[in-house]
Amino acid sequence: MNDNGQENEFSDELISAYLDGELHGDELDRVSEWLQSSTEAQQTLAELEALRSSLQSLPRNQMDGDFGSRVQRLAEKTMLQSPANVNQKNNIGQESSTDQPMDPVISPRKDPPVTRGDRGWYRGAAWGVAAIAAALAMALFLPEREPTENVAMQNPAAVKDRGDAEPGYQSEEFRTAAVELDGQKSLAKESDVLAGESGAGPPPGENNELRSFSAGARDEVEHDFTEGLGDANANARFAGGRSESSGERLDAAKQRPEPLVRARERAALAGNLAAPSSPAETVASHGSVDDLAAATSPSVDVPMAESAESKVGGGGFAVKLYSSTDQRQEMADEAFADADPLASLQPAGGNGAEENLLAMSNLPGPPDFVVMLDAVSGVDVASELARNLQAQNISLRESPGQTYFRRQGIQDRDEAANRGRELGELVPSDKLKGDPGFPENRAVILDQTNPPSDDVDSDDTAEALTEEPAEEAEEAQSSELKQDLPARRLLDAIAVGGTELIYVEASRSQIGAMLAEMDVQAKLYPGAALAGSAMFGANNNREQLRKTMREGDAETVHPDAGSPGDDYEQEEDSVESELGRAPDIAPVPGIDDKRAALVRVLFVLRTAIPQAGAAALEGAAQPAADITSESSDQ
Amino acid sequence: MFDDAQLIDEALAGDAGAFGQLVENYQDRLFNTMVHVTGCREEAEDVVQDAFVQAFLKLDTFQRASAFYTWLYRIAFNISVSRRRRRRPELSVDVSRELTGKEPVDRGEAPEDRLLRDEQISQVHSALAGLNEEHRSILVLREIEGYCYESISEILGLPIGTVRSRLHRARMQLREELKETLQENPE
Repeated sequence: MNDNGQENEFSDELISAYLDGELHGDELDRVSEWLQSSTEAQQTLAELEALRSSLQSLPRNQMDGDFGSRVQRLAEKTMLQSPANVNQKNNIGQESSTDQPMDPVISPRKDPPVTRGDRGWYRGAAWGVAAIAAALAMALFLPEREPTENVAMQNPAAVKDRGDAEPGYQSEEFRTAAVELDGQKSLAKESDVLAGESGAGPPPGENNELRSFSAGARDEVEHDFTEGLGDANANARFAGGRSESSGERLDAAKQRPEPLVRARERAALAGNLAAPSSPAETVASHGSVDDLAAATSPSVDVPMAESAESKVGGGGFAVKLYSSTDQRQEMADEAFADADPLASLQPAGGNGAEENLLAMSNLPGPPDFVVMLDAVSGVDVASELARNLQAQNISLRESPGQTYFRRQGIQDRDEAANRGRELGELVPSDKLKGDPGFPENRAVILDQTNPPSDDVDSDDTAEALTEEPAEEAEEAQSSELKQDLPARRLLDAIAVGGTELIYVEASRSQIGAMLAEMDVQAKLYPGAALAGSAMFGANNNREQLRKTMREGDAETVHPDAGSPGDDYEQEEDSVESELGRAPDIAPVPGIDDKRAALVRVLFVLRTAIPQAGAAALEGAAQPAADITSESSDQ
Repeated sequence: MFDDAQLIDEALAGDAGAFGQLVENYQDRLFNTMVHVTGCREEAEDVVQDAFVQAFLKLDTFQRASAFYTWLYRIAFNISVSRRRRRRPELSVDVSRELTGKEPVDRGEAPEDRLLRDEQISQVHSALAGLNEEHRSILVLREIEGYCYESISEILGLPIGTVRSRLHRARMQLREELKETLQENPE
């Protein structure tokens, strides 16, 4: 070997490979021999070793704390915003050379893209897709099927293209169905379907099989539901509308188009809420729990409600509105399958339940209805809520907590919690000072009257969510989603402030229309209105409520009073007793006549992905490309 | 302790927590690598974030012919290349300061030793940042990640012979950049 020119470089390359342990056989023997005889080769090797040492001595860089959750939020957002992009190839693979593909790349799905611009049609189609998705309400208890079979039934091509590894967190079936089906675009159209069922013959395009299935499924539901009442978990099962195996049964449900059921439920709900009685007056005029329950229970024309009423003495409930994507529904449903429906409002319920109760003590009045909104992420809930609230011309008014966090630019929940503890010192508000845990950030109040908050220093801490601050105007234009400011504020509230309670005061028709149009899973618990009433009634002195809750006295309130189940009768006495000690349960002081005429609904948010929301709005991920190929296509 | 395959199965079944575990398992390793590949912490963070998001979204296409991290690294590398094509790299004398600014400090070192070490680290960072992307990437894969030639070939899509020659040229280029440092502080 010589030490000059190309041969020298080749030799050094051998030394480099020798250093890496990548030489074998003859090459290894040659280089080993050379290193023994050549000081220059030895020096080269030493330099390369030093080089390696220098590189390996570089400090390790680490990601910041909540990277994992950020990734999941971004993934959520990417799925929600650009489903088509997820499967879109970009030019990386095309511009790169492909030497030896390791594995074939599964073909991108051919689903037509669904954009926000298509949303109106998309939502309309979604109503039609009730034929697939909405049957969940009844088919929760139907016989199980194998998941792969379900996928095959819905979209055989998808199975072929994707193999068996369809991830549970994606929702292609819905998008596919939404595109393929020409669904009804409004509740009115669904009402037409109902009319057709009731004797006018099948509506155009309706499938007779659906109705025959509907009847059979209803029988099964009744049977299962009745049996379920004897179960120790009946309460949760009622509340969640699920049995232990209902997760699997959801798969079967997706195979059975059932628009009639959902249309009936929605129509019944809207009709009931549109009834011309004031819940506040109703509550005030009834002395017994049964009367109250009857007064607050909508006569929802579904067997589940009937069964529930027969078993729990009028605490009926069970309106399920399913119209989100199948898999998102399933995720949300799975997440809360065994959850106590009112755990988040119960003392010692965990996960901020105490804060929620404290937050409730700051609400304008007791709720007439409690509606659980179950979704995968805060994005789902906030966008749907904001859109429907706007459609119903219901104003949003954020709590001082949200205002503060937003103005401070706090985007992290932990930071918000820490700052919240400091807030008593930072904000000259008696309310805040008196509540270092700052539970106000748990609730957002939405109402028609939109009065300025008298409880806080409104100049600095409260402002209408619908009023876009000038300094944020430019930012709000940066993306389509950001332009939807109410949605963004709600996302902020949910993701940053940890808001779980959305308190809405509106007319019955507005609330009914909202629920009928919402594309998240909503479960109405009219009986749970008693819980709120009882809490407020038994604790007119809100400071006492605070104190009581701080001391963890679980006997003071019984928020599960309206929740059907085996324990209901035991709770009944307690609740009645509580009500008996609360003669001035309604009208609640501070609620004027105008507001007393409104329905008060407490939306309780339950999201499967914690903290999903505001952060998902920050920095859109680049459109997905086929950069995930395992093939070598650099 | 779950292995990657199990976590992937669970993630595909809809368990976001399983994917979260995968993220936790590899985020620091990938981030550390991408800091050196991109020469910028913020850029690396974006790349890693995008890589995990894409991995999350495309997990069902992962055929498991390679290790999950290899697949993940490849995603990150492609994202890095794509981003660089869209935006010229912003290399400056501040890069090394940026890279070293947030690094942990060994409190046990004497101040002068720490300063000297920091200076050396800064020089290595600067030298790495001065390499072209091809050389920087392959050096990081080999020297920092410790990949064998076959794995590097797999990730970068290069023949093994090209890996060997490119790695050698990268070392030579870095050696030139660092010659002064190495001479002052021989190992």
